[in-house]
Amino acid sequence: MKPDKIYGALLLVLSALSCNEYDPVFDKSASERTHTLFGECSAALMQAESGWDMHYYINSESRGYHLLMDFTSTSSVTIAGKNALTDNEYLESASHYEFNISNGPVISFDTYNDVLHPFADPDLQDLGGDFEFIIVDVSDSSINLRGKRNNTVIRMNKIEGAISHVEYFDEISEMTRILFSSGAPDYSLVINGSPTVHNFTNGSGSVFTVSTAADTTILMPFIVTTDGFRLYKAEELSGSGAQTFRLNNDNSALVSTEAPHVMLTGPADVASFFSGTTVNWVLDPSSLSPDVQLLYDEIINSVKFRYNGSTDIYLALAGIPSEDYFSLRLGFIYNRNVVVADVYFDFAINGTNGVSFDYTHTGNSAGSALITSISGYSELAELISSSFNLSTQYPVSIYDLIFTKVTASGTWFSTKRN
Amino acid sequence: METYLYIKELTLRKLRFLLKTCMALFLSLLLVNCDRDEDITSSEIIIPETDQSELGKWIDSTFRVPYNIYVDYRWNSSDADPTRNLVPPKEHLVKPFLQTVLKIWIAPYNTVSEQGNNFMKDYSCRRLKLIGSGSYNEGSVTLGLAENGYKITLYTINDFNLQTGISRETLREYFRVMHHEFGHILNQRKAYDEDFQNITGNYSSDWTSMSNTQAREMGFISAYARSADTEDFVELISFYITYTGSEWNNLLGNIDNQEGVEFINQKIQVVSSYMKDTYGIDLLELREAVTTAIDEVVGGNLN
Repeated sequence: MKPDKIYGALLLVLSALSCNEYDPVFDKSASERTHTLFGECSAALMQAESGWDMHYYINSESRGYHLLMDFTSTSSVTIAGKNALTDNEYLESASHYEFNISNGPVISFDTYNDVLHPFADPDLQDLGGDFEFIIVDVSDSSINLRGKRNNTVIRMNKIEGAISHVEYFDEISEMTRILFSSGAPDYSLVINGSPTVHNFTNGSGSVFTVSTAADTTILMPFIVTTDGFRLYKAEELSGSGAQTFRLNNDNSALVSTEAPHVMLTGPADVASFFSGTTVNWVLDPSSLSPDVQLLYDEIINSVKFRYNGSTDIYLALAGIPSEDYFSLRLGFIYNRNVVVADVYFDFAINGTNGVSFDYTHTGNSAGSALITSISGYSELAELISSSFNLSTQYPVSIYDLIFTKVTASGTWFSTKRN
Repeated sequence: METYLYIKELTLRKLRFLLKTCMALFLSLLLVNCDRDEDITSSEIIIPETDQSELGKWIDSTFRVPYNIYVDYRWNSSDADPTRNLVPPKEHLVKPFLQTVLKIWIAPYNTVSEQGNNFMKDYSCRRLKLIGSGSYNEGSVTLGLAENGYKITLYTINDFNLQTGISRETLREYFRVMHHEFGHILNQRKAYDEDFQNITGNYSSDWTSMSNTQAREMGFISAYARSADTEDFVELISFYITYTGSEWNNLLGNIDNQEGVEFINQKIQVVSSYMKDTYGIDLLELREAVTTAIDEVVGGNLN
């Protein structure tokens, strides 16, 4: 066969093939798909009754912030924040937003918002944060974004149920206190019930220092949520792949939602943990047995009477640094002076959940003075000079401790770590 | 000779084959296209919605319609420097700022020019971009930029708060920037006499190492004026018309080196002639109009 005939035959075959339809990768054009994504995103944003919670990160090394967003129209948004940039006061601000195409589908908060833009404002702290975000994917309950400049991973979660943004921030503040208030324990990573080498420490700034198998440490930014916390990114520590941790039903552990066999646990026993703390265990006036309540009220009223205008009055059990005893502390502010009165107790641990206090009838100078002048103070000291069983509602963090008198179970008082 | 003919024959064969191949391909393409029966749909291009907010409508009627100036106050990253940390202006500060732009920048030129309102229609920038923050460099802050006679970008709008009171000096700084940038636009349209750059010469990119006072001793109205003759020229315009007559005289009176004073006076003569001869603008009258406008804004009159 001559070459030109061969080529002719090939061309005919190609012609025939060219008539066949090919299967397109996408059934719509890029522009149509972008339109669709914007439509889905807009609809999702507008449908949230209580708005959206943006987990905002300035970069991948520092802590996360909650920005609560109400999308009130296709171009208006109200953003609420409560963080260091708002002086830790609740603040909300309305502004404009739009969808556009630049580096992909983008949601741009394109007018100044007093809650969002301070993270980017060079006239303030010049933190260099984003206010334009590439839309990665959208569902009814979550939207994944990427910061346009910093490529930070930003997640938006639909706020479930009817809750105001003020209440939502209150819940986050309470969870922050429970897990990370002063004197909080380290958390240990447990996989399939077995401990690992990974300890999560220094969580109070929302960046964990985590020990690794190589005897080094890595930093893990995270954000406290209403029921636990979420790491900036999923971590592969010992193959865990965990990112979101929630308090379990009995508050004994923080369990990964992605991998339920992965959890973080707290101190082994309450007595040892209590004995090692030097923080104030502040008596909770809403949770005292009647006899303790009487003495508590008597002390508070006596302070108010003797030191007219005094504020921030509290009673606490406080570990004395470098000493082997505790004090019953009475503190308040009077004429802008901070008064800290301590009367001392010898202290001993009884098993995993028992402690004994023995009143020494000594104290610091303020304690020695006030123990006789403040009505009820010495009586409370005598009441505490006894043995107690310890229990807690939050075994994972031992945020609270309930002291129940061994010899009289009707005498008890609740405290919170502060 | 035979070899030559053989090659020629081969070439002709190849040409015939190429022709056949092209025709076959063309027919194939026709077949492919014949098979398409898709509907023609509407445009898939995303057209941005026009700004229908109250502020947007006001800007439209006050700047775009009469002067063909488009004001960008919402963030648009496509025309912002991606290497800088910048934020958009606070929305509630935009209208008072623009009212002041109208009063201290646009109106004085229109008042002084023989062309009246047509002056700014013809010569103003086509885009005015507002940025909330400053644009920070190593050791300095950019307050304004002019680009190709087309766009002026003004920074630090978030510091412009008439409600908390604003001094004459603060207003002067804002509008010195505005007049400075507009000076560039006028220069970019019609060049000034090249001899201007020889009056002092001595331009340097290391201008940040010098204070205004030091620069004035050398015959420059500001340290920045020393960065280039183009900057020197428009710095003179902006200082001259935003300072009152007595402030200008004080400024020159505080220069110890009389040669420096002479240089500045020589340059101002060139600038005045350029403005008068090229644009029909009397610099002295323009200064009076700007002074009056600044005084009125300080007194709370934005209209």
